[in-house]
Amino acid sequence: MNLIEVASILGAAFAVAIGAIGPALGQGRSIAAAMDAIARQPEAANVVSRTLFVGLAMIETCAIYCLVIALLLLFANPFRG
Amino acid sequence: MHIDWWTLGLQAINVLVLVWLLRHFLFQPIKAVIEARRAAAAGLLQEAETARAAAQAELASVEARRRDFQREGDAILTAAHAQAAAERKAMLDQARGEAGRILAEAHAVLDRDRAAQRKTLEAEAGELAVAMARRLLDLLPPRQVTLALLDGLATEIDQLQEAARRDLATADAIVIATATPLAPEIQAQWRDHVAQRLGAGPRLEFRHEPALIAGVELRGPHTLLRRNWRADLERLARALPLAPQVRDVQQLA
Amino acid sequence: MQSPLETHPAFHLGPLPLSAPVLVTWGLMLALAGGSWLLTRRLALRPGRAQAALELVVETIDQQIRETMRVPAEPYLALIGTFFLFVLTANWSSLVPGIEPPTASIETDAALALIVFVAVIVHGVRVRGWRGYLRNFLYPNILMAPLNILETLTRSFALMVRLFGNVMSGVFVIGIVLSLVGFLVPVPLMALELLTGAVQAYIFSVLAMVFIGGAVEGEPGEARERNDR
Repeated sequence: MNLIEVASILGAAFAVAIGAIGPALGQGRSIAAAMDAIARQPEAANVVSRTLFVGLAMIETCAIYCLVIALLLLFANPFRG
Repeated sequence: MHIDWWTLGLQAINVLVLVWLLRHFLFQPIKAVIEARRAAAAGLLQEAETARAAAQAELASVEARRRDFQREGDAILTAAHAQAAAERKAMLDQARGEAGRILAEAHAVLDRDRAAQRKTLEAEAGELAVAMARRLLDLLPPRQVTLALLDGLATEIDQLQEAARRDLATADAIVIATATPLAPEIQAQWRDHVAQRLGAGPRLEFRHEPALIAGVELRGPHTLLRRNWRADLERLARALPLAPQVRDVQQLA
Repeated sequence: MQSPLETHPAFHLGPLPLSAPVLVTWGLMLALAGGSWLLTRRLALRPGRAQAALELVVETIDQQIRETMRVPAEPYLALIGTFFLFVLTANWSSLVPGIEPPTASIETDAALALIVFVAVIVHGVRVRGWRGYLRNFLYPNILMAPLNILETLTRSFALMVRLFGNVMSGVFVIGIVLSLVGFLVPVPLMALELLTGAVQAYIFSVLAMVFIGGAVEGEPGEARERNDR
């Protein structure tokens, strides 16, 4: 196991770990805001939840990007030769 | 990293084919049937609306007809009431007139009967009175009666007017007729009476006339003094029926 | 361990290399189209149970399109509905043992994102014309045009990567856990995978609606003018 492999594994782990923190915080905030909005206006629950899902998907995309990067490092590392 | 372009192309084609398939087999038929149901529901609603409108029109017409019937019935009833009232009034008037006429007739008949009855009664009463008087006179002694009558005659002579008395005084003879023959002393007494009142001129003749019922007459040439009950009775009988005021008093009684 | 990023042909049909996702997709196509054909063969005004369920699904998709895009749903119903039904059934096909969801391979997701990309252009041009569609990129001013063009490309890429990452990660994790324990432990993960699959199908459809709706609706000012009229 050479240095590039070790660096790739560490990079993948850190990418997923750090990349999960930001989206988690963002999703938590957005869900809290959506709950607040639904509590204030229960009749708008449909619109709010649809927008919430779309927003969550958008935020989640960041974590998915990190995951894809990690997978690229693990399985399709261009520097491994 | 390796992308299989064949797979990518095939999957794209697959998805497009699936879109066409589902459009043809799922979405269009379902939308069509939903639309058909909506159209059917709209048609049903329209039909129900039409039926409701028709029913309401029918109801309105029935109502109008019923109102017409009622109005007609009211008119008939009113006319019948008016006719009945008029007939009753006419009958009442007729009956009242009839009753009035009958009453008037009855009154007239009653009056006529009463008048006739009264006339008869009066006549009978007169006759009865005369008869009773005659019977009473017959009961009295004729001489006493004649004497009383002679006294009355003397009073009458006293009450004669001056012209009549002079006429009697200048007469040749004065006839004194009585129903019963006079006694000689009474004749003498009368000669004194006459002389006292009319002077010695006239000669006295005494006649006996039984036709004079309890009466005396003094006949001068132009003067006739009568004092007898027959004449009184005759006068009374002539005066019957009695004077109107007397009859009224009788009626009141 | 085999790389989840790569797809290998299962066998060759003449010159045509056929991979596992293509075969599974054909199976899904057969099931969806055949089931639809069977169920819609005899439609009645008084719906049976199956017809009522189908009508509920179609009406729900229709209503979602109308609420999200604020236009009549008719031109987009087949496309969006197919996206939803196909992604949903593809995600849930992992329930069948031995079958890997087609959406877990990046080629299928790339094909779907490509179709959305093309559909946005087609519908935008169809409704607003070339000039109207291209004016979208000049909003709010001409300096933003490169960023708008870049955004159009990246959001399609994000669409692809989102679906791929979610489904593939689920399959990958289940595969790892299955190789470690293999009994009962993967069941909660599989349930979570079902939920994620449904949510991803919904999100993919909604994002497709939003993209197409944005192209059809035009810039916000214009939309407000249209609404005022």
